[in-house]
Amino acid sequence: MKRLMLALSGLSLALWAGCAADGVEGSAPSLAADEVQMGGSYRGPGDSVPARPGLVPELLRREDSLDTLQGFSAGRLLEAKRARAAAEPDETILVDVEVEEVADAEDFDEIVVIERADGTTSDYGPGQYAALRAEVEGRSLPLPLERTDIRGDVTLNIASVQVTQAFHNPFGAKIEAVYVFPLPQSAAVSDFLMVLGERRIRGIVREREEAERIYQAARNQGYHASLLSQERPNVFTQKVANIQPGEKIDVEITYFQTLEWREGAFEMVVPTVVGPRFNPPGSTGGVGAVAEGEERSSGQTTEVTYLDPNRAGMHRLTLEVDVDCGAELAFASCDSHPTTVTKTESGRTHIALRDGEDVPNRDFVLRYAPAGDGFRGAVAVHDDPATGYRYFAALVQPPEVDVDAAPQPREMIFVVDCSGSMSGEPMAACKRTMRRCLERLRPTDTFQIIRFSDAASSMSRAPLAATPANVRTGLAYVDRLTTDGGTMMERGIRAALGQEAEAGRRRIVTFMTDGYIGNERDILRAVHENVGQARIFSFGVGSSTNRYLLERMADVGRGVAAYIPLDTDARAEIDALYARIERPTLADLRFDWHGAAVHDVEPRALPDLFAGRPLMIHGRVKGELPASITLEGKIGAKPYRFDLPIGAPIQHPALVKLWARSRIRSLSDAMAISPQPDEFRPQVMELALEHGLASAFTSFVAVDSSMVTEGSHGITVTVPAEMPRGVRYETTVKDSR
Amino acid sequence: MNRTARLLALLLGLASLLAAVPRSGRTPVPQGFTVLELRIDAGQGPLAGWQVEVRLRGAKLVGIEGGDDEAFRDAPRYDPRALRGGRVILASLAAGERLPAGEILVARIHVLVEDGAELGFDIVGTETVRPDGRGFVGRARLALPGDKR
Repeated sequence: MKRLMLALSGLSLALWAGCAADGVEGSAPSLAADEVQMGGSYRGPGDSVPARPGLVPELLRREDSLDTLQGFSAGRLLEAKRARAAAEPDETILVDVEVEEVADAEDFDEIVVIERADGTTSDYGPGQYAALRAEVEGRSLPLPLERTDIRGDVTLNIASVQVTQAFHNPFGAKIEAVYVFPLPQSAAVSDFLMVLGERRIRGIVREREEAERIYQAARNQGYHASLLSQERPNVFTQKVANIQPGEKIDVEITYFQTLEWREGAFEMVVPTVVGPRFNPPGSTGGVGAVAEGEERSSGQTTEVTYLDPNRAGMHRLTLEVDVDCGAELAFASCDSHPTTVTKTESGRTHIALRDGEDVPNRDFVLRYAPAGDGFRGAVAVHDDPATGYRYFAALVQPPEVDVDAAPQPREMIFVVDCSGSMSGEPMAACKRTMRRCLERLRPTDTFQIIRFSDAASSMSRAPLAATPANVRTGLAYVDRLTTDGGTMMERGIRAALGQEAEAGRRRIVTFMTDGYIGNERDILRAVHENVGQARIFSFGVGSSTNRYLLERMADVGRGVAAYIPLDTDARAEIDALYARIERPTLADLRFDWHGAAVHDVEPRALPDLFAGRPLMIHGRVKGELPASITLEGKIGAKPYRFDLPIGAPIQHPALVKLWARSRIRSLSDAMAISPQPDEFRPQVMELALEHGLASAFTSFVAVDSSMVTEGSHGITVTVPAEMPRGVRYETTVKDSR
Repeated sequence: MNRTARLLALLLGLASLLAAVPRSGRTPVPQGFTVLELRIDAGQGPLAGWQVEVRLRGAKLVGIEGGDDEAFRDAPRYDPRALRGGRVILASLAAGERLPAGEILVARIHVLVEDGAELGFDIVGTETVRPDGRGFVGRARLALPGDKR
């Protein structure tokens, strides 16, 4: 198949002709980077190239008539014809295109225009950024990230996950690829490799600013280099510099994670896309969401570019997980993706995407449980010769307690995110959830519904008694909820928590949101300052929610987070919520280690324990762990003690890093709500550097110093993300939130 | 203790256990990025694993790459705790059954020479092991590419 590629750079076109291959390899549409940098056609902040609406068609087919080629004057097209005729097969030529008619394009099976961003107004220099759009007869050309391959290896509840990002430069000029992507918020990112063919270069953890300086120097001098930076605990930026035309560079990231037990199963969540975030006016440190062609326009330090959902992306996801619980599994299931579950010869359970690959547009959620008569806890240990400590991770769950106490009257406040990102399926799921919540109210409860988007408002001036008539009022209010505007979550928080709860009532606040905001720290601080005696239960609604925010809101509010997929009636989730609220909570927790020299247990401030949610702790001990530990706490005012036997531990070498990650998380959590967050920086950085972990203050950098690529560093190309399933592009990305 | 465990135990030992066999080079190089090649002479027997402490002066470690032999092609590990203290400790276990002997290029060390500094490098200590886990005195040599000293 012959393919004609046109790359538009303002007033000139670069033309590449004669690619014979069908596939990706060998096809090299020209980006004309050098031409762009030399010429005056690039539109940077200081440029004054006038806008020419409709100049750049995204797709030319040979059957296209001249009428469809808006902005191509007859004269310009004529020159393209001559250039093509003069070109040798597989030759790349760069010309200023002047062509008279498009009919000559019949010599080509495909004609593709790669568009340079028009009207870009951000503060980067000439030649640095471009938006690439390419599409052939309904399918997109490969963009710089072809594939993400995820391989998980789970031992009981400790996951070791390798993420391979396969970058490829399909263009005719050198590029730097930039990709903003998610990882689980508790991931201990501990290894990083840049792979060039058979060469594998291990990255080094450095202080963030130092890593960036090294990367920029390597990039500017033409070396292959890659940089992995944490933007949020669950959002990372990958940069790969100096990818030459046709070249492939893989990046391998390894992380460890302890998986939590939730409602009867271990749960492994692999996020695959960062949802489009809203940032309040005036903020600059958020996570921006922009459409292709509008790169660097959000004004935020981190920015995700989203594909127009009408344009199929070529980035594909493969995912496989092996689970070994040391025993048969009662079940392993995945509701988020079609999967196959098989047994391997070694007795492990293998879970893979049924079709081999999928679109990275939603969280992968795997749930599994070991067979047997109920989960009783788990312990893993590792002896570290460098420190002389035995590191451990323990999942502890006290038995359920029957408490004969009259239920306390409750004030149930439901806070519903009605911003634009919730429009469509998320709001439908939210309404189903709300209806179920209202049906479950007790006559002794009072309730209030607060909606927020740009502003917050409530169903009534004060909470209403949960009478049948008032519940009907609530249901009608829910039915009328509509979505629009931004996610001014702080207003919702203040509306929900700003008033004192009625005396004698326990206030329960339930947030329902996708969590698509970029100012997490502001939100967590607002929760911390206003929560008082209330408990906060956060519900993530959608296919790829901001789990970091939702988990942390619940932590700060001494509640728990849960997640409502789009295609569920939410019955199970709401029943679990009410079960948690209605069953006694074990508070004021303390461990008795029976004389063992246990140190540095994380989390430092033990949370309250809810039914169905065991506590995961990390720590280290000099010597042996005792045969059992005692957990002390209170239910109401009554003290309780539980002796919890520690069974035969499994061994896992990742426990040192997981302990360090857990400690970093505690420090980061404290930092997020502290008025002096900088105080925590040295401790976080020291831990991360000592244990070789990515963090807010440390990054991985890898440089291949053995060769210099030709030319300058080329154009920076952001890898566009898929829109999360169920989220509307029009209300989140296109409406310039 | 099986073979792998013995190898691991050896390789995870810290520099205090290493045999100090200093080798140094002081070849001025242009500012910027450069690569150092780490070779180990395993003598007549096969090399199953190694750990080397390198002292860099005027340069930062920016990447670690494996060597040419298939057994040591994977990127060696480094000790982040040691790096925090300004020491570069690298280690690798051979992969596969065919283990090399003689002088072997086991790693390429990518560094950034700091502005205005002169690159200096020493090998502070070396630990090498045979497939049965026995240690032996392997000689390590660190040099710029093409430097045969």
